[in-house]
Amino acid sequence: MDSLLHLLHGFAVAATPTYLLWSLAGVTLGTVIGVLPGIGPSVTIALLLPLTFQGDPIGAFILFGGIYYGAMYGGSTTSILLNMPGESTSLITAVDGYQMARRGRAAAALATAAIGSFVAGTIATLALTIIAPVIVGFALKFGPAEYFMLAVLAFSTTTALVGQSVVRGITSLCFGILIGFVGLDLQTGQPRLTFGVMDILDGFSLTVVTVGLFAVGEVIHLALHPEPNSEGSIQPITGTIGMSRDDFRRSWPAWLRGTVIGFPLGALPAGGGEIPTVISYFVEKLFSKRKNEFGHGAIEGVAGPEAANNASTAGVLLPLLTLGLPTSATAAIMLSALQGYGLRPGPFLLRDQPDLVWGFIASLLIGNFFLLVLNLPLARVWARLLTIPKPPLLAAILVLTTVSTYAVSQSTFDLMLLFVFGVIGYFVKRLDFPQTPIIVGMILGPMAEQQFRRALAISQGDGTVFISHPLSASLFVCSLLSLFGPILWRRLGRSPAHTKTNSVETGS
Amino acid sequence: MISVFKLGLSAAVFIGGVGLITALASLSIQAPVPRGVGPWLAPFAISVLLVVMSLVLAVQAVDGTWRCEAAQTSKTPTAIMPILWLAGGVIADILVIKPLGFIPAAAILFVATARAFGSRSLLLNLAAGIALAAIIEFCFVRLLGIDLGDGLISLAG
Repeated sequence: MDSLLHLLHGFAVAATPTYLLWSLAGVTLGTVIGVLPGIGPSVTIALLLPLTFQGDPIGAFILFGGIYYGAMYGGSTTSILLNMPGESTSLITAVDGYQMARRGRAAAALATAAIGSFVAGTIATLALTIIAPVIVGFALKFGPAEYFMLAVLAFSTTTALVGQSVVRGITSLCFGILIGFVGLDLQTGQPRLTFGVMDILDGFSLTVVTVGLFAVGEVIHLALHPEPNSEGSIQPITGTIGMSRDDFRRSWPAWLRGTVIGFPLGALPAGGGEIPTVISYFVEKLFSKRKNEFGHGAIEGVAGPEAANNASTAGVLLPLLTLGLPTSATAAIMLSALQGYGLRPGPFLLRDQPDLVWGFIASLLIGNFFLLVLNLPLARVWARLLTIPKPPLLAAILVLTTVSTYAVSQSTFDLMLLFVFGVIGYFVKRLDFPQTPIIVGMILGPMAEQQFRRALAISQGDGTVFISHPLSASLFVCSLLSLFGPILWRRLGRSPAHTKTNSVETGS
Repeated sequence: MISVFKLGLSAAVFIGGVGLITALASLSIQAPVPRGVGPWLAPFAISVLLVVMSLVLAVQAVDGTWRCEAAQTSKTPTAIMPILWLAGGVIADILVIKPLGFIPAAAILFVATARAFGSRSLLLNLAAGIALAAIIEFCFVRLLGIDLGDGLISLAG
């Protein structure tokens, strides 16, 4: 099959000593940040962006891919050993994982998480390899109207399906889009929303915004609202990390189910890896013959979600690499990286940059293997990272954010912007505005607008082109469904018994 | 008794204000476009949407349906000292980085941030900050060729 040949070519690219080192560096760094709370793969990649523009894009992407996958592994280690998920995608793992650790079964939990992640990541990445060319073939029929509607679909799913409030989601999205609009209009060269400030004529740097909102905002938040010392003791890991036959027998079906759940859901514009893990947990509970073990250390409750989150990470890459459509904040940042290197994301990427794309995909498989080998023996070391005292750790993070910002332009204006966005990020967290739509809006907004204007230019001002094309129309319908569906669902589910409990609740 | 969620209400007003400003700014974007829509339309439309959302948010702030961290009444009052230390460190960093260079600026920021989080070992933090900044400058400037500016104390050039 063609794809497998491409993949072999990718291995030839990725298996060179330099790129192997990049991959190793990426997965190690990814694991570390996955362990550390507050800093995640999206911020880290945004931090590294300006520092990698000097180098070669393939190496940078191998690094980013390693970080992305590594963070999933790191998050699960702390979930299991400390009940402190380093990533939101590892929240569910903590439920049964920590319970297993408390019962002296930390070794088995870590093993099932690591091996399950490897299995799921490998299968999902292979699926990516096979399906990507199919999607590309299909996407070549897309015109600007379809791309616009695809962006609208991404907008509606990331605002409506994530978080509690659609209103706040839309607000975040609008805010992000407006930030993206600041600068010169690509088609006419007109400055927009710059208010005469020369420094932002080029627009806001993605690094400054992302790192400011997420990292600096998090530091400010932690300074003002310190978390109570939730460092429960690190659960000891007895014996070598591995699983018994029985554990394995229970785990492997959960791994496969998790993969099947995670990959498609990751590929859909539904905003992140948390949803697949939650669904996987409930599926495992549903199909288990040992329902009452769940919540007290059922190994399936770790195996399934861990597989799901790694599979969804590969799933997110599918629309990114084939359509240039980001479905998570990290994907949006990687898209921006592609643009930064002067590469054109979209269906042609596969054809024009085979070394980059297939080398990248091959490096994911290699990185996955590194992670399995690293994480089983080194889990104790990673857990120790959390004993680093918070003040110097957070101070170091803040200093690193200034490095990245200052390295872009050596401008103190950018440093000021960094901290302004940090303050905004603080309020975004306090007031529970979702963060993903801001990033997705900032990156996809201007692109969507370009497609919109292009579509209208081609149709000579005819606005119905968006609905007359069947593909575009169906995407539009999907967007409407995702936006209004959940609200209608909730309304329909409201029975008299429900409203009674609701009226008691609103006292708070 | 309904208590108005003050922070939420001010945020809603702020957001609405931003939306109005950007809407007005969008209307003044001129470009000679023969056919199709101009560069003003999308920013204007999004600004209007933002204003509409801010109105809904204001309603939610008043009727108490805005559930979030800030809305929960907590027993511990927000500490002010950390903000002062953080702000001080940031301002110092921004003022000092060009004249004195990255290393002194980063070291000051490091010490101030560590203090903001309660660490009182001033000398230890200062040493750590200088060491960290020096390592960073060495790695990035010398090894990776990234420009972190000149200044009094710099490894550049």
